[in-house]
Order: sequence, then C-alpha cells, then structure tokens
Amino acid sequence: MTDSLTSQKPTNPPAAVETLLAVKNLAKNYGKFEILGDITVDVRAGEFMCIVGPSGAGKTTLLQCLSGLLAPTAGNVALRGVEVTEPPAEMAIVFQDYSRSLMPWLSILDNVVLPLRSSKMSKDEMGNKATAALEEVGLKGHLHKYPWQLSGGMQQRVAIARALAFEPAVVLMDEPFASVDAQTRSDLEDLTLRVKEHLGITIVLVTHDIDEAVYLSDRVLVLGGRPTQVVDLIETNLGGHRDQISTKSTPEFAKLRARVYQEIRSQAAPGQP
Amino acid sequence: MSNSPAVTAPKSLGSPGPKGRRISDKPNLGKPGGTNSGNANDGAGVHWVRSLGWKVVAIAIVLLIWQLASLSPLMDAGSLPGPFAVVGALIRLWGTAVYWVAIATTVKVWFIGLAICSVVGIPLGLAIGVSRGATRSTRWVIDFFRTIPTIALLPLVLLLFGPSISMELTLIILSAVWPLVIQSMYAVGQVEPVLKWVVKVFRISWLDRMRYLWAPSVTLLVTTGMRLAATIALLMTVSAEYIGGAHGLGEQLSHSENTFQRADVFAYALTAGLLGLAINLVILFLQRRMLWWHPITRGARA
Repeated sequence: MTDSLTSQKPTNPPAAVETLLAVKNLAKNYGKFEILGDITVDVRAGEFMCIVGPSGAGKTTLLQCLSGLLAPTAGNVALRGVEVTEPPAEMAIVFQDYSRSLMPWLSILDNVVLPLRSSKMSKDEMGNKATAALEEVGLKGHLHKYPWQLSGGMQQRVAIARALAFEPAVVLMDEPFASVDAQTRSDLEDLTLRVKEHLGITIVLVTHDIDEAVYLSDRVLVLGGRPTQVVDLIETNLGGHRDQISTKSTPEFAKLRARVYQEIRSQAAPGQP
Repeated sequence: MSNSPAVTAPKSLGSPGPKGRRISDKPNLGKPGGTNSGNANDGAGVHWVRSLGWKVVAIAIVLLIWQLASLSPLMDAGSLPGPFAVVGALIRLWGTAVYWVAIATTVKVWFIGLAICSVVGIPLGLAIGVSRGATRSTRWVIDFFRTIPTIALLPLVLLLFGPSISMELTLIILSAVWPLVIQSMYAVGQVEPVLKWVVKVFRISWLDRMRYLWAPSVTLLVTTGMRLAATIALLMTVSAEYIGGAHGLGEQLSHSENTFQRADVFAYALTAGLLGLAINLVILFLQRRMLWWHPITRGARA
C-alpha cells in the first residue's frame, strides 16, 4: 500500500463511498399500469449519474419519485438516510421544458432569487447568491432581462442557475438538453460538468441520449423492461476531464456506448415471449 | 457594484411593472426551439394608423346611413333626429349640471356594483376552480343563474327595494357577477403545471406562491371577466335607471322621452354608449399594463 506509486491516482473514489440518495425496491403503478417494477440503486455523494432507457420506460416517473413529487406505490427513497416524502431542501430540479419552468413575469435575477426567499437570508445575500449562480453559468450580463428575451439554451442556463443558487446536495435533471440544438446541447453538457466539478454537487440526469449519458456519467443506470427495472449499472471510468472530441473518440467511449445501446435495444424489442 | 442588483432584486420581485416591456436590445431568439416572437413589431406604427383610418371610415359610414335614414320619407318627419341635431343637443347638454350629475350618478352606482361583483365573484370563482369536484358540481347552478335574463327580475326587485341604489346594485350583481365567477374558474386552469412543480420543488412559501405564481397566472382571464362584467354592469345600471326610475343617465333618458325631446334621448343614449366604450378601453389598457410580459401583449406566438 505504501509503495503504490503506480496507483497514485485511483480512478474510483476511495473505498468509503457515502451514499447520498438510496432508492430501495421502488415501484410505481398508475392504476393497473405498472410503470416502475422494483428499482434499487444507490447514488453516491459527488457522482454524476445518468439514467437512460427506452422511451416510455418511466424515467420521468422515477425522477418524480426521487424528488418526492410523486409517492411510490412500494419501496422508498432516502436522502442521507431520511425518507423522502416531499421535496427535500437539499434537492433541486432542472426541468426539460425551460419555456415553461421559468416565470415570464420575473426577471432572470428574480427567477433565481424566488426560491431563496423562504430562507432566512437577507435580501442582499439572496441577491448576491443569485448573481453568483448566474455568473457561474455565464449569464452575468443578463440579470435584468426576462426569460422570453433569451434563447432556449440561455433559458436553460437560468434554470440551472436557479437550481445551483438553492445550494442543493443533489440536482435532478429531467432531459434538460432535449429541447435545444446540437451545438447548444454540447455547450450545456460541458457547462454542467464544469459546474458539478466546481461546486462538488451530485447530479442525477435523465436522458434518452446514450452518447450524452456516457459522456457525462460516472455511472450510467440503464433501465428497461416492462414494468421498468434496472438492466445495468455501468462505471464509465472515463476520467475526470472530459472533452467533446477527445473523450468521445476513445475506444472506451465507443465500447460503453455500444454496450448501453445493445442493452436498450434488447429491452425495447416488443413483447417477446 | 455587485451589491446593487441584490438591493433591487427583491424590490422588483414585488412590482412587475412595465419596465422590461420594450426589448431594448435584440433578444437572442434564434432557431433553438425557443418561442419565436417573429417581427410583429416591425411597422407597428403604420399598421396602427391604417387601422385607425378604417375605424374612422366605418364610423363615417354609420353616421351617413343615420343621416340618410332621418331624412328618408320612410320616417315620420322629425321622429328620427339626424346626427347633427343629436350633436347639437349633446353640446347643449354639456352646459347643464343635470347631464354631468346624471353621468356621475350612473358611474358611481356602476362602480360600486362592479366592486361588489369583483369582491364576491373573483374569490368565489377561484375557489370553485381550484377543486375539480366543485367545478363539476356547480356547473348547472351557475349556468342556470347566469342565463336568467336579469331584467325579468326587475319588477320583483323594484317591489322589494323601490327605485333606489339597492335595487340597482341587486340587479347589477345578479347579472354581472357570473362572467367574473366563470372566468375566474377557468383562470385557475391557466396556471402552468410545470411551475406548480417548480414552486413545490423549491419549497416556495404559500404567500410567495400566491404572489408570484397564482396572481400573475390568473390575471389574463380574471381581467377578461372584469371587462365582460363591466359592460354588463353598465347595461344593467342604465336599464335599472330607465325602467326602475333610479337617478342617473337612464332616468334622464326616460325623462327626455316623456317630454318628447327626441334629440336629447339620442344624446343620452350616445353618452351611455361612449361611457361603455371608455370603460372598456380603460380596462383593456390596465389589462395590457398588468400583462406586459404575456405573449399576447408582446405580440409573440407562444
């Protein structure tokens, strides 16, 4: 152990990994329809986990259960050991539809300030915190504009800033980049990686895009089946620094991508006996 | 420097005034799936002048038909005063106190009636709208009451209260409260479901949810209900004065009729019409001011 110069930089976090969000035997039915089967997964503190699965796999339902917006039919979700029954203070969400998730009657700054108002911060503190969050996502020059004056990508950055200013331990993202164009998408992916690194938060991101999932994740959770179950949980081991071009051209990336792709395709095959 | 937005932030949270209304610098609205505001504002001035021009033309045509009708042999001589006679009468009435007192009385009663309707109708409508069960179960009751022609109740109400303000207010409330109730019910459905999640997820306080989510979300339909109610209330006020004999424009109209002052009858009728138009424009203006952020006001297609 002492002479392990070679393993100076472990690719995995040290042995004692703290579980931040524990999902245990989670199931969710809508009436007779079983959406989520029996899902068990632990989200580690500080990791970036992406959840992928075929469309209609109930990814968003899972996210809503994680955030306490939806009560599970069976099983439970715990944040730092405390069962989640309502949205916890240490959790924030970035919704897919930025055009609906921001308030058009509030300025960019006020949209970010609003969630802070229930805290005991002074108004100055709230403003500073919100400004800092907006600066983090590169929107410092747009504080007093309104959401509808910004492009889609910028609006989604406001939503990200709102989540960051809330200072959560974990940020849930529901297909956050699904409604923007490809260039903006990769910009936002890199922004999210950088912010996560900088602030040391945990991110759970739902996506249907396999490349995105592999590129962003420390671990990829593959869902499939009917009702939806965990198909695979993959450590990506792509390292700390990622780059849209070089990371995506590594053989590891290609291998991971193929693996997830096959798993999803085999799951999506309709009603095989 | 970095402190200034902090100070202004909570302040501007409270008063979404029209300060951000004009897009001073070109917004970066491109292809990326955003709401497309288009270029509805380009040439807006020219468009406005043109539409005003056509409105003037329409008015002129109506006046011309009126003048021709009053001169035509189909009418008994002098039974239908032409526009010139009416304008003459109107100018003469402007010099009398009776005219202005009548307007003031009518406006006062109308305003009190509308205020009561708002205080009762808006909260009632919102409360019903929040509950799906209440919306469904009250449908028949509301449809029943709102389709009763209130004027048919006038004899009964007159019997109860006499030609008084109470009589007028009763009639106004019975007729004008319904559009407010109904629009407020629908307004509740206008609250964006994603934003309802947002306020839950970010644990926004009950009071802030009311101020920053519910109030702005219901404004469009509630103010639309106001406009409808305002028009109906004015109609009922003047009717109650005309038939029921309470003081105001309607009573003057009736009086002029009984003394065969035909031009005065038209002048008072015209006054009531202009009053209605003015009220509508004022409410429309206030609505646009409150909804400066709304795609409808911005001319964008959401």
